[in-house]
Amino acid sequence: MPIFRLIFRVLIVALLLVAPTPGLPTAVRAAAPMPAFRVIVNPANPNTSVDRKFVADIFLKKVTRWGQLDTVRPVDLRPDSPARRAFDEEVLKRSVSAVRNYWQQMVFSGRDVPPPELNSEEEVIAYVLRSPGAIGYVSGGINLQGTKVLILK
Amino acid sequence: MRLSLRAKLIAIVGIAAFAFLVLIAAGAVIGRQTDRELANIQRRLLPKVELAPRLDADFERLRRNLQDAVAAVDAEALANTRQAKDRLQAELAAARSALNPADVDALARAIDDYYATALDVSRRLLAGETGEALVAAMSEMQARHTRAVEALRITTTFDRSELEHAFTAAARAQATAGRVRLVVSAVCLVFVLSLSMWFSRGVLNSVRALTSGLRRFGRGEFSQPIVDLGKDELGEVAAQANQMATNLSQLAAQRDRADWLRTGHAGLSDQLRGELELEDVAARAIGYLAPYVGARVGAVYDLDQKNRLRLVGTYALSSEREPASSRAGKETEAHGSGDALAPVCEFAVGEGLVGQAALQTDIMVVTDPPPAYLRVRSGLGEAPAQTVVLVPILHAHAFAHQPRVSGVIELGLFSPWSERAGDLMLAVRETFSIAIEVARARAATRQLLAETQRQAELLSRQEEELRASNEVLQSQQEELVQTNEELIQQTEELEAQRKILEDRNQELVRARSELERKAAELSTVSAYKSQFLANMSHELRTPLNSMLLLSNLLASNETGALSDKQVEYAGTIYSAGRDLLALINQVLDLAKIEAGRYDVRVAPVPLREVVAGLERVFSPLVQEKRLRLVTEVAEDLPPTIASDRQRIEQILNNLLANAVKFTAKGEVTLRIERPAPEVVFRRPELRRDAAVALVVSDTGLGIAAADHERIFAPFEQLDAAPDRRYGGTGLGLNIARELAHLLGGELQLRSSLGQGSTFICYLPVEAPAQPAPDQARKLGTGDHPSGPSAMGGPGASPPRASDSMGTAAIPADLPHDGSLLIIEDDPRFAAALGELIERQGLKYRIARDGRSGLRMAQAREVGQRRPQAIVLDVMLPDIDGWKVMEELRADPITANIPVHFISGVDAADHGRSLGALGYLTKPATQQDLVRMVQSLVPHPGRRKCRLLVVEAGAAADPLAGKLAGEDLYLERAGNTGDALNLLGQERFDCLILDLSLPDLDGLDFLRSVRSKCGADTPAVVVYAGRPLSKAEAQVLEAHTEAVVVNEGSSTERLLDEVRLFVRRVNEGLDPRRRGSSSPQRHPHPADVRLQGRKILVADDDMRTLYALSAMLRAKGVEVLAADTGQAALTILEDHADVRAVLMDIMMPEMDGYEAIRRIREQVRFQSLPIIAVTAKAMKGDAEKCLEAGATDYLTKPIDPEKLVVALHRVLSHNGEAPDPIAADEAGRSS
Repeated sequence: MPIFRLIFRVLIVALLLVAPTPGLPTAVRAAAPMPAFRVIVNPANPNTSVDRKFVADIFLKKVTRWGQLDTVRPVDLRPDSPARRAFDEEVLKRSVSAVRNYWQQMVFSGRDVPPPELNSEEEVIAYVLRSPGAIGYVSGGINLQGTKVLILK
Repeated sequence: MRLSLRAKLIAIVGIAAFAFLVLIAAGAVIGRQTDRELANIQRRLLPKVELAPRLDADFERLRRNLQDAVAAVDAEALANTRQAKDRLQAELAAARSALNPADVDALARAIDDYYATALDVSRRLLAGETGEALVAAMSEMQARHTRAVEALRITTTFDRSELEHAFTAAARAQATAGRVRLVVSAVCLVFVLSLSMWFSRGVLNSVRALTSGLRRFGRGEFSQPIVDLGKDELGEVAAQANQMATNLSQLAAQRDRADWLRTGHAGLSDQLRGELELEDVAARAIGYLAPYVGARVGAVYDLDQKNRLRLVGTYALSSEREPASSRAGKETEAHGSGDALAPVCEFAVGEGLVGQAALQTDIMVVTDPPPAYLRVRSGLGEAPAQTVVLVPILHAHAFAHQPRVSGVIELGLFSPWSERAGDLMLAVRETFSIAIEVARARAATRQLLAETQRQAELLSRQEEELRASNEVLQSQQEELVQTNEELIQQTEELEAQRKILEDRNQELVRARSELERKAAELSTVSAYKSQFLANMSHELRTPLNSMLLLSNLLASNETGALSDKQVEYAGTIYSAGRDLLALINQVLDLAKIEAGRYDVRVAPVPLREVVAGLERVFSPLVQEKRLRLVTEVAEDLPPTIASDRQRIEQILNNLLANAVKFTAKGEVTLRIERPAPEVVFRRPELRRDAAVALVVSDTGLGIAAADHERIFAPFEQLDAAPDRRYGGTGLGLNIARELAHLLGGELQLRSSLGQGSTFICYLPVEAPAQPAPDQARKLGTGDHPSGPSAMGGPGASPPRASDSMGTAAIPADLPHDGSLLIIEDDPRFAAALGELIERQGLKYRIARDGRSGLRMAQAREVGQRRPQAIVLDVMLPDIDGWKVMEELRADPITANIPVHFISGVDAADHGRSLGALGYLTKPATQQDLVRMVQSLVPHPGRRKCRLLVVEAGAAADPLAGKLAGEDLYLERAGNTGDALNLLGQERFDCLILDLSLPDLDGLDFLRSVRSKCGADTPAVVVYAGRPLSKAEAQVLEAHTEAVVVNEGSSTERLLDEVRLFVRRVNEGLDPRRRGSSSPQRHPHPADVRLQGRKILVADDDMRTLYALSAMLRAKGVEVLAADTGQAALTILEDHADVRAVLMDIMMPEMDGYEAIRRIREQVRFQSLPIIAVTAKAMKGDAEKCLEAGATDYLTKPIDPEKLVVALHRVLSHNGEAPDPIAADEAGRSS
């Protein structure tokens, strides 16, 4: 169904373009008190800030490499974690169930598999620290333990 | 191979059919291979093609079921996915036979592996498991999915190639089949084509041979037959054609021979065409025939009148043998070659071969004569003829069984004589013979023509002479005209003298009146006398009146004092007085009678009363003369008739008075009765059953038949001259007759000398209201001078009015000059009309105005004559046409001239009311004008011939009936009396007298006719039922124009004679040329000379004799007739005073020449003029006549004018002194 697929893509792009307008105050707010999530990468990762769109593409596995460098290894939190919810809504610009649905379709049509969903933020940090190309997010108050936070632009 | 065409055709068709069957079989074999390939495809490969998408769809369904179950978080649904997987596996198993088993196994395994993993992952997802392990499971699942899809693809791909392979195999099989079929078809086609070509070449060759053969026959080359073509059908055709050619060639040979004969015949006919002499015919015929039959020399002999065969034409013959006619001219040339045989130009029939040939009908052929017999010579050499042929020229004669020989042809040939040439000679000899006969006939005709021309020349010479004599005549006529002019001059002089006389007369009258004035007394007496005369009739009536009254009174005898006798006398006085009164009235009315205006008062007339009255009147008179008066009224009469009593009484008065006067003793009878049945009325309106007869008869002197008519003439009295025993004016009978006419009746007389006389007055029972139309004319034209008359006898009244009435009653046939008078002021139209009239053969005159037109029409001046008709215009310069018309009608001279108006004024009715014949409105067409002229002059110069036939009433074959068809007016009289009566009443042109009438003495009758009619005596044709004696004939002929004896076709001759008269009359000629004796004209000088002369006419032809006699008698000549020369001599002996002799030359016994010579022998007749009459107009005849002593001669038929001229000439040449009568007349006329 290429046509449906095209329409679907167009819809997604449209959603992504509309989403940042409410997201900006949130980021500003996070700097001050406690941000709902933070995007973290392996300290070896040279990047300090990335595009939100780039992040969304990474988590939907539309981008698989950091430029010409390492393979990107996104990692999700449990679907019921608040950070996950905030991340999906602010970065991916869609609900958690919508994201999960997307990934089910991809899985059963044999095209891709979702990033792993980890039970705790610690596991996420551990996963990031373990693999250089990994990227994940954690809630604001958590000890980052050496992971590098990326500033979303 | 010689097969019939049919076998060949069957062979070709059979082979073609066989090839077609082979083609069908090969197609079937190859088709089976292809079918097999296609069945393989259908059975094995097509299910596989369907299977691939089905497996795809089932696999997709399984995947989707798993996904749906996970999405719905439904464990049960997840469990149910196994059914989908099992169905897929079952499907796969079902298709296993069609697929590669190894592939199927691998696919089934891959599907199972995938399903196991997918089910595990789905359960873990349902269980909400997360983490990396799950992701790993998912990856595993993804890999297996990929593998299953790959296996599925491999299975499907493999099947497609196999299908392609199967299709390729089928296509290959198909291609193979096509090739095989092509090859087999080509082979069959080639085979059949070659067979056909082989067959058709054979047939075409045969046909070509046949065609060329037939074409040869068509050109007439029969010599080369068509070669044998074999046993097939064409061969048979060729054999028939050859047979036909043989027949044709025989026919052609016959035709050539016939052509040759015909050409020869036609050529000869061409040669003989035209008007040829006998020699030309012979020369042309032999010149044509000899080369045609191949003869080198030829000669033609003609059988002439003397039965001699004469050489008339040659061909290439040596010159000395040329025909006799042309030999003379070539005598000198012929001398050079005198060594040949002497020429034989004539043979008698039967003499020599030529003569013998003429005796027989066949051709005589002499083969191989000796070399010297006949040599054919040319300039370079000569040779003997091999064959000599003699052909008699025969001519089938119409009246003979044997053909007639016209001549012989002799021919010499170098070659033998062919049968064909013989046939030709036999065929042409008829033509040749005819040509010879024609040439002979032509020669005879030419001879005759020459003779005719000679005679024609002679004729023209005589005509010239005739013309000369005609000129003499003309000069005489001119003299006559001159004399006439002198007369006119004298008349004018007389007129002048008369004027002088008149002047003197007037002077006398003046002198007399002078005298009268001086002698007053005398004049008073004269006046009394005039008055007395004027009033006499009136004065007479007064005493008569008293006398009548008194006598009537006496007759009534009222006192009874008178005796019966006295009473009767008184009655007599009364009735006599009444008659006297009536007579006086009649005297007064006489003018009216004469003018035809006499009144007839028709009233019932009681006949018995009339008779009684007359008896009373005449009784005393009769008694006085001691006669008896018998009166008688028949019983069957009507008591009264419608008529005028006064007139009837007057008539009877006259008749009775006459009867009493002329009867010395015996009785006078008055009888009234029905007319006798045999009576013939002269008036056609009288009918026997509607008439009464008043008969007055006496026993007196009687009247000779010759005088019957005379006594009716005014002032005529029989025996008046000798002693005048009887007084009277002689008017009585005349008046009685006129009165009878007036009453529509007639008066007839039957009397003869010494037998007493009977006057019968026939009156119609009803008198016509109008008096008879010709009354006025009859009375008015009396040219006797009216003398003084006394009132002597009863009814004697003077015809006093005749002078004045003379002009009032011009007869209708007043002479006119036959011209049309055109009164017309337009000169061009008048000229055009005149030209048109001239073209009609009429004359015309033109008057430019009304007055001159009237003058010309009235023709009052001397030398003028009235026109025949007038064409009148209305618009004229002086007086108009209406006025002219009125004046024309008012003038009795012009009253009956037909007038035709032609005018621009359209007033036809007015014109006709004035009495015009017609009215034509200008502009008129040519046809209108022609019609107008024809209506004015219906038959130019024609008048109906009036004919009187006197023949027995009951004639079996009445002449009148035969003549009825002719254009003439015919009257018929049954006896001489009627005929004379009719002649007295009317003028006739011709009288036909049947001598077989019972009461007829021909001569007497003719004499009385002559005495009665005088100058108007009609031409007489006598018709005798019996042969006449010579003397009788001669007597009759002196009075008649022609005598026709009833023998054979004499009726026809009679009709011819009558027609001749009719024609003469119609042509305006005087049929008898008797004008010279008419008292009104000046006598012709010639006639003067002839008057009273005695002339002897000698002719054996009775008709000529009659004609000459009649003509000469009309001129006043006394004619003596002789029918032979001897008779003429005898008559001359008796009559020394014969002045001239007309002598016919051709007479029996003694001919004219001899008679003339005999006459001349006598001295006293030395100078007697003799005119010879000859029928032969030959030159020699005239000279012979003159030699014999004739003074002059005439040729028959004799022209009367010419005869008179000749007589005149000879009489004057004779120097004879004119006799007293002629001298007297001549003196008066000059």
